[in-house]
Amino acid sequence: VNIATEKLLCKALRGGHHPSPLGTIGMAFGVALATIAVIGMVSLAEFGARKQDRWVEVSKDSTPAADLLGGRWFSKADVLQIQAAPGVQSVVPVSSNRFGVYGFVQLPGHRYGSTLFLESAPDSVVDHPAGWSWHPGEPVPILIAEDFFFLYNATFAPAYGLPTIRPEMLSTIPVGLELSGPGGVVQVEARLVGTTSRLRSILVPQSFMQYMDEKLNPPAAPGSAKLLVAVADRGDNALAAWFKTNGYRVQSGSLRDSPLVAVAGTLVGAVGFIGMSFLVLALSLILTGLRLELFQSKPVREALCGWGWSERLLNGIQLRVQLKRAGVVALVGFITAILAWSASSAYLPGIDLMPLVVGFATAVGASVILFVMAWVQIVRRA
Amino acid sequence: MVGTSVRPLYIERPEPLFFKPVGTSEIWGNDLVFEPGVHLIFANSGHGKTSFLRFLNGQGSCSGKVQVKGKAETPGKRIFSFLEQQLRFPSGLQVNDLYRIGFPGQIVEFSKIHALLDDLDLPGVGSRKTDSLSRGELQRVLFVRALLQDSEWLLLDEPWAHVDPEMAKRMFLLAAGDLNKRGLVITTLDAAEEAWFSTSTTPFRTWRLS
Repeated sequence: VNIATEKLLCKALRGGHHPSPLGTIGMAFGVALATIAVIGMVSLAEFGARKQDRWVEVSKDSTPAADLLGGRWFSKADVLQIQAAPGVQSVVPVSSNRFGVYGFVQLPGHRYGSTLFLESAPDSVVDHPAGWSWHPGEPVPILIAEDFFFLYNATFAPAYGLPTIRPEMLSTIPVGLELSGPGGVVQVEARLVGTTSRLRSILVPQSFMQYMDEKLNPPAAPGSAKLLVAVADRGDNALAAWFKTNGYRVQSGSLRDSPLVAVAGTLVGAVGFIGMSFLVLALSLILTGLRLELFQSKPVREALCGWGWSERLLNGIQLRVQLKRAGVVALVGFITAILAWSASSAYLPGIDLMPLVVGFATAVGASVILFVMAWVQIVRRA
Repeated sequence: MVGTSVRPLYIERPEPLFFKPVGTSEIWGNDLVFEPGVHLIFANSGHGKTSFLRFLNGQGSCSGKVQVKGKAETPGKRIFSFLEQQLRFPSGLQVNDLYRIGFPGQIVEFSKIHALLDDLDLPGVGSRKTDSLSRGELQRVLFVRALLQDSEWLLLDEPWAHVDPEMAKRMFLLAAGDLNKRGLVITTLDAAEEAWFSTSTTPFRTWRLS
């Protein structure tokens, strides 16, 4: 059967009418919303899972006056007390720089720089990517906090008209550090190797920090101002109260979920509900229209079969129309999935391809459901 | 009929499934042989004329079997071409489009179609929409389709129900134009038609459904 004949047969089966595009538009809209919701949910779940780290950051709840007397530093007794607290599994001190740090980004014709701080912790407790090691003479790897990354993309970059940065682009940014202390001034090349959700900080390997301490010979610190504490349950309110009572401050949000994530989750759920409602309504509209079309076309089908056209061929023609409709729905879903995943990975660093895969699966699933239901109607009712 | 290329139809015990024939009949429940030629089936309404023709054409719901015995089939040639009494047609198409999908697996020249339409007083009907045709026009349009469809047997179900007697004669002469190449089965309920057939020179066999 050539295309012109197939078109005429298709027109004959539809009684000369063009099918209403409303069902397809509704279905495509519903798939788009459902895909956005699914990608949002999976991204937030991934982001939340990363946040559900058992490590929390703890500092001392000091006052400016107490700071002068060394109140900001954790003593050995403090560490032992925290270690003995119920629900605490282990305690690791975090070292900060005692030498001057000036970080800069060198671009052709421009140099953006700022005084910075650096911290380090034992490699075993840092959620570092591969290549997290340093030897003298090598560029120093740097991990930045996800929150800083989020702040840059969501706030700083738009405010100053700078481009947003994707996590995989970090390593291409030419960063340098100028370190200074009684031992002299050292300029080192650095490379941003990724983000960390465990520490709200700028992290370098402990070996680098120790090497520079020896080289630049800064004054010794009386201890650590920050601890990484492994807890059994981040939702433990009793532990949160214990820290507060004993004069320790847990990094805001560390022992509970971010309210922003909860609000985003609610919004995503609402979008998903609207999307699913559209999907169900549009699917009903399409299937009702199809049922009516099949009912109306029954006499014509019988006449065409009497002329010699096979039932199978006529079914195939009507199925191809539904296949095209399902294809349009899938295409809209794919495009939406790519856009939604790009947006979520820009704002929620560390998101992998899983949300995109689930988004694609949603689009394919909706299309397959549409096609299969149409196929059942055509084959059974024809 | 000597030299015919039409193969006889052997019909085994046709029985309608959804209605009971009234009394005995020559067709229902009997083994039949339709030899090449013209076969007229007379019956009042509701006795299964349409059911029988649909059964021959492989449609509807009758038990029984239709066999075509004799020489091998011509490849691509259909056994039956059928003009339905209900005149079911695809709406929303031009008449020419109806003919474009009217001959599956067969190429029919439009000049031939239009010549026949002219013979049946339907010049220029090709560009009209099928929905705009009267019953009489539609009957002739579909008759031309059935007539030009390549087949061994032409089945006409009350084919002149909507045309005048003069046109009916013209249609019959066209249908019975080459009985060596195609057999003809016609149903009718009009006793007057039986009388008319009796006066025609074309030999025919009469069947009854009672």
